[in-house]
Amino acid sequence: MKRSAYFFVSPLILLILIFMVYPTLSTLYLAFTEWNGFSDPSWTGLSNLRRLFGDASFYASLKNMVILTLYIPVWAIVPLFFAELIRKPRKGAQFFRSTILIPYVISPVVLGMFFKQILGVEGVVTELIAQFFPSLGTVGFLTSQQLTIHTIAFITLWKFFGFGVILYYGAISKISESLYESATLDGCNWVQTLLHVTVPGIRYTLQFYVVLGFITFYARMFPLTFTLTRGGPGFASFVPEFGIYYQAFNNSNMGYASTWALFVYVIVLGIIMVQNKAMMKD
Amino acid sequence: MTANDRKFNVPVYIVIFSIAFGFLLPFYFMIVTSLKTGDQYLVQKTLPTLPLTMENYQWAFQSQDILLNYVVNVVVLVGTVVPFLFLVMTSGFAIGKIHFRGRKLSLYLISAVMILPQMVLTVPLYRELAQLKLLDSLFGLVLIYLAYFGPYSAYLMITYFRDVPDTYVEAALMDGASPWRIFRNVMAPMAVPMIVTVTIIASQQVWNELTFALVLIRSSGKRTIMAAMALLSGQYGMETVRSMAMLLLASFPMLLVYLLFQRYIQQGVLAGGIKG
Repeated sequence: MKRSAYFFVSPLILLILIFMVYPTLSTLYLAFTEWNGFSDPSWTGLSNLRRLFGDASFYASLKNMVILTLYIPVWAIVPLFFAELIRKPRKGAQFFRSTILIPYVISPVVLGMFFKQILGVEGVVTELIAQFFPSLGTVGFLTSQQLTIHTIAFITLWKFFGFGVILYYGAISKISESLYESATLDGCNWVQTLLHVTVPGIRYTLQFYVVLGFITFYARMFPLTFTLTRGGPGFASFVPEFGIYYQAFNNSNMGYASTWALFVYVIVLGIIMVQNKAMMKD
Repeated sequence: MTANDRKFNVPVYIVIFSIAFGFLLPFYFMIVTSLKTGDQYLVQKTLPTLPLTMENYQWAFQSQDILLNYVVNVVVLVGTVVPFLFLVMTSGFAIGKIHFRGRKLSLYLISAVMILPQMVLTVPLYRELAQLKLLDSLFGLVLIYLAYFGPYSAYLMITYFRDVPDTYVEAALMDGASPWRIFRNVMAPMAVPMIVTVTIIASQQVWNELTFALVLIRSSGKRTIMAAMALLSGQYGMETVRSMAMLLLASFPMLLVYLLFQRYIQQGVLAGGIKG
């Protein structure tokens, strides 16, 4: 029986080693080479790193990451608020749960194309706003240097809203009903109940969802952003993934692209390490 | 229930229902717009107009590129899901139910790679697939999907099988059943609900995927519909009415799956969140 376990487990483990672990390790090497994708990579030491720290797009991506970070509280708190709202069985709660999860199952490419159409200069939302709020004029949701990254942040929040509500809702339903009853007896109002019963009861889920938020905003923005703006206008919505994409597949700088990839690895590792520390404390 | 509670309820209903309908608005707009001609849309952008027209759908079905990209998506989906189920069920059974040396290490490996973002893997994968002569090959893409999306579903299967009492395995072993028979005749039938969940999750992940499909497939005849649309969206001149028809067609399979199996999708969300 024990020997057969290796037979059962080896196909997946082999695939992981070949197509996930080995590429991860080879990035450590490629990041310090110059390589055009055809000839052999040649070792160049730290010159790629120096290039990264002198790259304007690198600082643009850092700035966009900072802006996206500001949306993490919204990401974590708004779904929690609505999960608490549908905690008690209410009419319409099932309908609510069904519709809010739809964007989560739709491809980011479809969402991106859709929003590009309705938020464009001649898009229906832009025109309606210009019609009802003439003082705003034509809003450059996807063409303004300042606004674009915020538009993308809001679409991402919208896409994951349902996921967050369902996740919290499931965690909340596991909290003992007696805790809520005693909170009511103690005269806790709605906000106090949320803070003193719900939040402590779901703190692991909350932590998981915050970590997912950081990973999404820092390292999983590419499909939506690529479809919407290609990282532009200029570097207005340039996130680190575009550094990898453009350097590798537009400019054939595969070595330098790997340096960008290394940067994203460091971010993800940083998030995990902070999370592990937070869990140790508990 | 106090009077205070009831007073509170009306605004809550209003909020909940307006948000729920707000999430349906994009689909209202897609459907209504896809049934207009370009001229009708220019005059009336929000409300439905008569007569309805199917010309945008006809255009999509007559456009050979779109049709081909669509078929590629279907082929990749089917080609991935079947081996996918085999992989995640066997590894889920082994790690969830058999106490072998390396079990912890396997579990650790599977949970560690779940976090990897797609884009960081593209450059080394490009190099590796080129060396294996699997670049620009749908078979290569399927292998990457199995390795990238497999761990999450395998993790769900592991947690499922772990909760099955050991006595089932022990009883079957006493009867002289081989490990393969135990897997196929005892464990797999018990896991049907999780198999459905995992199938739906994997279908969504593969159908909707952009990054690998965009980067590892170079010739336009082998592009998935998602990669083709993402590249198209950079060009100007795509009419709104046509693109809405195309978007509806591209998301139709997943919308259908969602309507039929939403209970399982909600379960998938919950099962994934527990890992914390």
